[in-house]
Amino acid sequence: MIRRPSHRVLSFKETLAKKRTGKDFTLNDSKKRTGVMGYVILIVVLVIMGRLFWLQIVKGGTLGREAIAQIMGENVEISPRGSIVDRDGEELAVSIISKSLYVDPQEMDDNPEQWGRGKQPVRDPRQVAAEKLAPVLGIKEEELHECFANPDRRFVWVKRTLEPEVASQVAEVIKENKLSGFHFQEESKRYYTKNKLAAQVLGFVGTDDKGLEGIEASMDKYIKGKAIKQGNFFDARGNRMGQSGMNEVETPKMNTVYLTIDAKMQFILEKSLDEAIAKTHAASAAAILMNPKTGEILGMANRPTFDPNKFSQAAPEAFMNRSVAIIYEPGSVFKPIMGCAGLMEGVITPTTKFNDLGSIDVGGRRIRNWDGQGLGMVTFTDIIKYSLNTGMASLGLKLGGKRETEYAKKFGFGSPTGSDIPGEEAGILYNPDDMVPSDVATMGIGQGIAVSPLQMLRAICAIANGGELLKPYIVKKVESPDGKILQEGQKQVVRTVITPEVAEEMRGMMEKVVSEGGGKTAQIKGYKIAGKTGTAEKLSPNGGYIPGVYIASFVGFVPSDDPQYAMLIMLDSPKGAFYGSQVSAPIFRDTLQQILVAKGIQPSDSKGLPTVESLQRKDSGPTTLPQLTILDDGKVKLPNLAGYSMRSIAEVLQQGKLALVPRGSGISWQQKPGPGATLSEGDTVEVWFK
Amino acid sequence: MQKRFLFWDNPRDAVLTIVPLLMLLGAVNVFSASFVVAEAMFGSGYHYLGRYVGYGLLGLIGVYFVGWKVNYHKVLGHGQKLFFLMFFLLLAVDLFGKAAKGAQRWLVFGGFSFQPSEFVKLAVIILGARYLGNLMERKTTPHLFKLNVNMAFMEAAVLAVMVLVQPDMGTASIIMGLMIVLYIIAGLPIKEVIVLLGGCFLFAIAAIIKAPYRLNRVLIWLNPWADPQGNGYQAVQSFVSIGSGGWFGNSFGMGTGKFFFLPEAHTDFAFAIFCQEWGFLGAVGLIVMFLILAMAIFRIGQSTTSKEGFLLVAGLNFLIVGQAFANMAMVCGILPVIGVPLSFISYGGTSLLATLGAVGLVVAIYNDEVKLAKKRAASNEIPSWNNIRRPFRPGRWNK
Repeated sequence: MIRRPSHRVLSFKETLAKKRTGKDFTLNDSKKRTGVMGYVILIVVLVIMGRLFWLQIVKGGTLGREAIAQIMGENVEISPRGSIVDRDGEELAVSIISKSLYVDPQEMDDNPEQWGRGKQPVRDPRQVAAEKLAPVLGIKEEELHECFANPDRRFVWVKRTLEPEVASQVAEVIKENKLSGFHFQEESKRYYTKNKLAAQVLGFVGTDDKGLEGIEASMDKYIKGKAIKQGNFFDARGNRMGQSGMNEVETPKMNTVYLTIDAKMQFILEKSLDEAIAKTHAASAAAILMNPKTGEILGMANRPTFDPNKFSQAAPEAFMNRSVAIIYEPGSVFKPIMGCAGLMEGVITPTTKFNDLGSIDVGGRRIRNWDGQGLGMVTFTDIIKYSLNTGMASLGLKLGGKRETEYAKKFGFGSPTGSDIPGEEAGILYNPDDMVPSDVATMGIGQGIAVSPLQMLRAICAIANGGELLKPYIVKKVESPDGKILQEGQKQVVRTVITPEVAEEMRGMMEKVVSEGGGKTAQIKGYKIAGKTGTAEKLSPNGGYIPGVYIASFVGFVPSDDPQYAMLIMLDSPKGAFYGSQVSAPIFRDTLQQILVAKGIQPSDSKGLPTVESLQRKDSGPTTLPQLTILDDGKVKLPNLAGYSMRSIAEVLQQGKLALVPRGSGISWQQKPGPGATLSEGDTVEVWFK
Repeated sequence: MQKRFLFWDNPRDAVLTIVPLLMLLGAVNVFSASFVVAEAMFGSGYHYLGRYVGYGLLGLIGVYFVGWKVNYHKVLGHGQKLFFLMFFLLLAVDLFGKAAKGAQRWLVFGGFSFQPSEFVKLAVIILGARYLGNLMERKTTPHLFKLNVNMAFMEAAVLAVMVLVQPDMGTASIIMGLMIVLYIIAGLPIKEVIVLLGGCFLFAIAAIIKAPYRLNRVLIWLNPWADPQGNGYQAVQSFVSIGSGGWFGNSFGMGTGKFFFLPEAHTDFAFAIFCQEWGFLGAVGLIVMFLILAMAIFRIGQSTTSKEGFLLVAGLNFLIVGQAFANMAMVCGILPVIGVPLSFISYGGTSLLATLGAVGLVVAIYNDEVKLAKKRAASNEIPSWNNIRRPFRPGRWNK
């Protein structure tokens, strides 16, 4: 074979030799040079390996810890605020964790990396963000743009506590339009499920989960949401790593506050006050329902009122829980208290005779009956029954200022009741040493003393329950998530103020007020009701009375021989009729009737009335009760309700959460709206009985 | 021509085995390094993986096409046209290109962006190999200061300056570096090599003196821990990622660097993520794979009889593997941070296509040489390389 020498690869030595002789640089020389370069590269590679060994093995521990350190972080998990529920666990105020939107205006510029090469549009991201988010958030576009264009701040709240669907819409908009700089933070948002129901009692919560009014404020320490810090892994942008492998700490559930309030009764109270305001145009009103044997507040309603879901839009005067926070001259409703003092002190008995002349002059002041008419010789029972000022004034004079004030104090006036309802007023009493005879006489008719509605009601409760002055309470219990009771409301007897005998005598007199006397307008057929009307001129904040402005109230309990419910209705400045018997007593009656029906308290005096048993027999058993038809949209269709007992109808309506307004008693015969009408939850049905 | 290379029948098969393996590792690493960023930017963690696979398949088709269907001599024959094509592409980039991260490097065609400077690297090698091959064919050695033998150098300088104004100093230096390497291989006298390297050093010193921020960069390169939250951030994050890998790595997907800590985690700094997740042993394995690839390409070059073919292979070896080692050196702090991708491992569509194009050319050169040898064997006039390289047979050489 013939070989051409040029194809031979020369050795390095030969190449150098060639060079020295100045011969041509051949391909072989070239190949040698690449070989040399190969060794250079090999050295570089060894340096790289050495460097990797240094970084990964020698320094590996330190750098590994550094890597862990920079992903470790803490995030704050907020647990929602505890719920407030009624005595049966019906939710009144609940919290859910909602998202708040904030923006870092400096982060808003478009980042080309976000778009992929060549896809970035020419736009002003702030303008786009304002435009797209305005309709979702319900904030004006200009306002949003101003907030986004703020160059000085790095944290601006756009909107706090978004509704979940709004938050997801916002997230969608942000993602769709590739907006930068927006972040969500979890915050707790409060919902008042029954809107205005018991608004002043519940109060409301401000920002940062701080209870500002009512139970929200007083129970804050139990139900305030907790911020829990937990360790987690975070990426360099501060987002939690999805697959960090760390278990999430479960958000702890919070304590629940059970109120003594009964949502159903509260609902009835609220409705009654709405009607009362509509009818009487009173400036304000309060209604309290209490268990006279335990001191539990079953309902407490006030007007004007507000929706705590939107408290920031409400007038601040609506926040006041007038049931405990206003003081007024009670007027005649105070007479039973003074009557008890007289009976206790032995100054009078129920049959003590008084000569009623229609008016009485004391210390230069003339005290008249409401109509100025005298009834002549009457017993003390009649004095209470007809609310005679003359008799009460002379009783006051017989007792004297010292004993009057002493009993008022004993009955709990002049100092807060010590209940757990925030915002209580103490009331005002005379200093007995400063009382002139006319003061002594007018205190007998409930003037010259300022009381809160709650003080008044619990004093009456002391008569109802046989003499025990109770500490009212509204928090039934505070329960921890694991069922532990942290705080529990209990019946607390402050002191015994009157003997059971005196209490019974007074109950008898108060029953006569309703059955025969000035409070006839509060009668409910079949039930023994004890009560007392009251009409007082309104005190001016500047001293003295405001002429022509009255506070009409009614206080009472039922059944009078074994009181289950005690209620006070107070209307401030009703227009037109202003006597307690005219305005407050009918409301008392209508309200109480609904409560009795709802609670199934049976008439104690069934004379002339068919008994429940006979009614049921007539109905041929409860199986034939008419049924509500629940429609697809949650509304209910009303059946024909004629021919049933009140109890049965209440039961039927309860299923559809409808409120029964009974008219009369006996067997139903007429209804409004008529059969077949569609109603939604909370609507009222009037039913006439005979 | 059949010559065994390690476990392979021939070095070409070694190349064709290692390249897909590296691409597999690259796809895995691109996914791991990019899914967090991709999720945040595009809503899908698979965005970059999908594109990598797409470009990779396209590139492999290119390898087949260039390797078996193209006469590389003809490609080299078009070297001059290639220069003008690159010139106009770079001009287009400078005029209409899309800017990103402070530089204008991309051309956009109907949604697909394209980085001409990656192809410029390949083009410079092609036109350098053609020009210097011709010189060698005419038995002329290149000299630094003779204008008539420095056309390729001038052309490379023009293209490098056009890349430099994008600005992309890293790619510009690589373009010049590749050309210089070709000149050295083509026989630039040793003295002139020393002068050239000294000149480069002086140029660097001058550049630093002229713009003090470059001095800052050098200082940061020497000690990134001096400013770990500022200028040294990327280097420090790179070290943290690499270092936390230890011997065996954090296992796939569990590295932390890609969670926005390490900038360019799936592109220029992909090697840091690789080191974090595969550990020291994995990194050494990767380096060894690149070394084997380099040796295989080197072996193909050594057995090439064509001068321009040989120069081309040498240049391509620097492009494919040399660049990879430069990237590793940069990522672990041996070199200052310049934008060099790690072949097959870094994400970059144009870069992957250019690299696979280079692989295709290497294959083409080998196949051409095989064809040539067969022809020689058939004509029986020209001895085959196999016979020549066979161990020493006394008597026949010295005839």
